Amino acid sequence: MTNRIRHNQFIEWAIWVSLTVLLWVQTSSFSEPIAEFKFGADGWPKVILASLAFGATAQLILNVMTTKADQNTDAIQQAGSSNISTNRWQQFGIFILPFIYLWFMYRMGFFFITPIFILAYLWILEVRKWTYLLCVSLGVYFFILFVFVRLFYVAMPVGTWPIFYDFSNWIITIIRIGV
Amino acid sequence: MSDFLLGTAALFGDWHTIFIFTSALIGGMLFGAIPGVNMLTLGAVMLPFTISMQPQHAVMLFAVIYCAGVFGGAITAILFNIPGAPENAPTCFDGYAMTQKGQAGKAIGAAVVFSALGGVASAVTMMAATPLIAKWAVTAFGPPEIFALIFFGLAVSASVGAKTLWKGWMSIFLGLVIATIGTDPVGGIPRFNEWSLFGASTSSYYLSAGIHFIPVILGFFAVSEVFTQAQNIADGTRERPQANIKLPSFVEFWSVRFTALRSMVLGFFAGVLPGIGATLAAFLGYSQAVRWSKTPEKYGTGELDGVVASETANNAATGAAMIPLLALGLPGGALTAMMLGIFQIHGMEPGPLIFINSSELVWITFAAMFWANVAILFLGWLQTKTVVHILRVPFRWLAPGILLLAVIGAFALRNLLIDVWVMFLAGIAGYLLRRTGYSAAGIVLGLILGKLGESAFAKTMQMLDYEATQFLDRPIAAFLLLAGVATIISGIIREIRAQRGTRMLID
Repeated sequence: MTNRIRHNQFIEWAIWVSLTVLLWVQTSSFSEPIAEFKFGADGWPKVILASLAFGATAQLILNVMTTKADQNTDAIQQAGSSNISTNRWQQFGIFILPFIYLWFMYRMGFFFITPIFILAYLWILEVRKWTYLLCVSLGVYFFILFVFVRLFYVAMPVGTWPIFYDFSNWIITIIRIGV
Repeated sequence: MSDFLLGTAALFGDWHTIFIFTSALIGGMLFGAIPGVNMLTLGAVMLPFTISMQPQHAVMLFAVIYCAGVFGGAITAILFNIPGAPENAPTCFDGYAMTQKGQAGKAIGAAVVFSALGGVASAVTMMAATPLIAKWAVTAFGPPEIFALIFFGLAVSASVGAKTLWKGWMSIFLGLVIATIGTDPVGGIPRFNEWSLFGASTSSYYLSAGIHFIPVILGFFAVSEVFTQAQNIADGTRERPQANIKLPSFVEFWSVRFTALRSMVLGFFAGVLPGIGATLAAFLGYSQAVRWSKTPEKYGTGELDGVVASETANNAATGAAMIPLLALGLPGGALTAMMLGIFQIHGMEPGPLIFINSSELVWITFAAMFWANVAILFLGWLQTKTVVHILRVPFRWLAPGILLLAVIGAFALRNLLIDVWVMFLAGIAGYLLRRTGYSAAGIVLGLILGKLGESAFAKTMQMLDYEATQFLDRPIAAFLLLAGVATIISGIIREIRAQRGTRMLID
């Protein structure tokens, strides 16, 4: 167990230090002198990056020194969470679906893809009754359209694929009738 | 006093003025509470219409929108962990935790009462001492003092919301690093928008404008919260919060009196400084409440003091922000800059003479801000009794709606889809960082104050000829810097002692 905790702490440290090194290397692209400022454009970022690396290292040293304390806490947390079972696909969907939604939003437009996204997210969150799925999806969709498209004139993406572009404009025209 | 009464009489003297006042109040509260739009959206929409208004009505309209908008954002911060505006972000820490414990009514009740109190106190001080305070604040606070204030603010905020002090500092540093993306504040040189690794290189036009803090805030608070709750639903471990409308008792109000007073002073002080405003006021109020508490470990778990500290401070900053605007013509933020625009539209110039030349305008504005804060008390009470019932709706029905509001909020900012990508990435990062004990608040604070801090630092170094010891010649800057250093050292000592104590207990 102690080895596992130490391993996790080293991984955490390695992530922070790698990030710092990666960003430090990138500062060379703007390491130019500025006539009116002695420290240049890279002075401030470098100080912060050095502080980040220092903080990560200090955290590692202190954590390794007190691993025993963490070990007990970890053991208690392990015991508490041992009977939790999660569907991997469901977990995957919770985090990935918004990105898929965004990818399609650019191409198909907000107005076409949004009701499908709401329906899919409700399904992932274990809503199974078709009446609830339809009512909530349409309710949220039309509420958003009414408030943001009709009242506040927020310009949401209309899509780049021709059919969906036309569909988005048709929806906007319908929603704004009488305005 | 007679000026205030005359202002009040002018405010409630005709139906037209009452209509503008009421519309601004309700509009500000609504726009403040709806994520995706805010009081600035309302201000921008209303600005063209002010041309046909009388100047005193136009300035009053914006002053009331400002007061009501800062309060409105607390509701969504408490109910859904979505701050309506950046200045409501610290309200999330304890407000949302209280909602999860079934104390949403208590949290909103406290936000209503102390927002109103902070605002009223600020309005009264503004009426009494505008010319005096404005002169002092602007002459005494130059870039070194602003840099020292930001340093002090970050030093005291390091422990907010993080599992350990180190994780708090790491969160702030991460925020500061994100704030450096864009262009440098002195030479305008692009930073981190061209990437090269192992011979391959890429560049991003988007990154040259920097990463805006609104998508990051929405990601770290709203999106990561939806992910966390959705994960809990998937695990079968989510407990539904009770929609309790019980308001805080008098004893509870009395117990937070020192927190409220401290936040009023801090909020007012931060509000007077141009460019600092309500956001830092709220963070300062919250972090000082943690600093002076006998049980700082309880903050972030649903402590009433946390909501009181943040909401009192951000509303106390509203009246104070009018001081440099009216007395010196210096706007402290975006909405007050719009107000400066109104003055220009009507051919007026704010400054010391405005108190003589346009006394009616000044006093109708002061009276409107005072009465707007009083009205928040009653309208907010009604709001408490009604909006808490949203919690009766199952979270799985609300989750897609919350994500959509966040999407619209991030997109509407600059009409860029990449802002929405940034928001979802910040959501995933926030989810992972929160699970490992890092502080979303620290990252957001670092991001918001980073640019301001760097700019103040660069100006300071140029002013002081790169002699850091000259800080000591400026009493306010020296005091704030030393207080910041003392806070850091005492924090480190406390952390090491606590870890040693835990080890000894186990041994």
